[in-house]
Amino acid sequence: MSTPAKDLRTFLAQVKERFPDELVRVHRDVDLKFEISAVLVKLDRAHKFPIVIFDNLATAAGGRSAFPLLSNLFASRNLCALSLDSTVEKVGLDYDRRTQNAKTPVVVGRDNAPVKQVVKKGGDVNLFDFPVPLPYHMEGGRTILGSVITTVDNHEGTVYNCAYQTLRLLEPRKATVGLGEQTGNWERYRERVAETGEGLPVVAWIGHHPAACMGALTRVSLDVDEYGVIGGALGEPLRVTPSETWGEKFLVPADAEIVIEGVIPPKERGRHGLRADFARYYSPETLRPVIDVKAITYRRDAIYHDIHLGGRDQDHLGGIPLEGSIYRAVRQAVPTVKNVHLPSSGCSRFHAYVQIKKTGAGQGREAIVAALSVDRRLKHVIVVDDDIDVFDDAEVLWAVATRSRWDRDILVLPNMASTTRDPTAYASGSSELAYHSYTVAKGGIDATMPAPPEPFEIRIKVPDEAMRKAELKDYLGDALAKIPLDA
Amino acid sequence: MASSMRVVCPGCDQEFLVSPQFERLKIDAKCPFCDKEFPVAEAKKIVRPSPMLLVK
Repeated sequence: MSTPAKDLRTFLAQVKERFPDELVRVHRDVDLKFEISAVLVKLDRAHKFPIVIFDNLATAAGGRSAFPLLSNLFASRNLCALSLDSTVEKVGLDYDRRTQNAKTPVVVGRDNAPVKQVVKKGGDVNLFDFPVPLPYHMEGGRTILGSVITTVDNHEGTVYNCAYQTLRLLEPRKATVGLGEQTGNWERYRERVAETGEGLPVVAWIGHHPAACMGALTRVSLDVDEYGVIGGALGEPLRVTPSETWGEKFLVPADAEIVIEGVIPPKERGRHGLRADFARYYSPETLRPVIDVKAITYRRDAIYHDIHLGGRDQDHLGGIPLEGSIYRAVRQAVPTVKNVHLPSSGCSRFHAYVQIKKTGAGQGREAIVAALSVDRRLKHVIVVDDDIDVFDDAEVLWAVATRSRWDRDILVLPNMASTTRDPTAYASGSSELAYHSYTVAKGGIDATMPAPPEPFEIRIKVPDEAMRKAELKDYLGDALAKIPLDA
Repeated sequence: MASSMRVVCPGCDQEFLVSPQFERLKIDAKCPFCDKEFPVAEAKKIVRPSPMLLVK
């Protein structure tokens, strides 16, 4: 019997087998308004990051939801590593390596595509049938967060472009899509819309294997087919199938949970309501392009995948792919770079910890500049030696405390490109409409020791052998489990 | 608050955020708490983003 294609189901089965305590189901009734986020925020605060499936929900319209809701798919770094056959320490780097090895998608027929088990078109479509939560107090509407927006370029071959973009529900068959004006993707889309004058065909797919989801966030040039890149992340070709609306001209992921097909009209804009953003603040209501939905297809027992915005879930989804991109950029400047971590303390976007094995003077600064060039949201880079654990904030700050000086090791770069979502960024002039007009000062701290052969203090250490032999339970017995965790 | 204005809804007195885009294009703000739509100029209170603060 052949191995089933990787999808959300195969991953959940893998988690159940390998890490059963990291997958939990909530069977009691749960209110979509605030209650799901209350549960997830409390889990975050308890430093527990299981995948959570809520089975009994109301729809956004008020009826009973036919779909369970899954959240926190990316919240555990350990499970992210599992999805990429990697380790907690190397998952970002392995993600980058895999996505460099694209795999051509495989086309399967509708009969062999689970996402085609239910097909609804025209007046049968109602986006409010999905259990879309209202997560935070100031949000006045329902936003689909787990949607990978996909477009296809049929002019120069078949190149698919994918990115996570929010969908704010307006009507049963209409939503706004969170494509910011003057972002690279939107400019590209707008050109195509202008070319055809008929609107831009677009697909939103929801729920897939986490490697496929992260693969949709790979930074590639415009001529690279992201379905192939997603196959690289998966480690096997992505299975795709003809869409309901455009047939073989627009292929959709066959193993997704849900697919929404629609058209972005050339000029129409709608209210993309006030909503939470990755930086854990609210983003004001703005005008965004509209999608007119033509069809939805889904599995008979589809799972609605939601992202826990403001938690580790969104941090890892965006941060792990970015770690790989930063590692690759720094390696050009400092070949002895060892690792990169984007900690949750910086929403996995604003801070980067870069670990290097220092071999020459100036490498700390080189690493800062190289890292900052990768993503406009990245603002602070701390470079440490290879004895510092970049997954431990306290270790990194200890290196800052004992290996850096303000008059020598701080690099400040004013007026660097930023985003509207950095609350300290400002638009130049009065062009606050333009995403690309926002700038901020960025910089880094070189918290490395001087390059060899320059001597430096020697760090205290218990010999490895003594550490290996000393098992706490042998000394403390049952008392060990009763000692409370400290902050 | 670099890219947002704070307004107070004339309907329910709740404070929320509006993009300066809405004031510029004369689009009604919509209160996320009571759904009232109103011209930004009719908000009970408006706090616009300042130029970059050199001292805070």
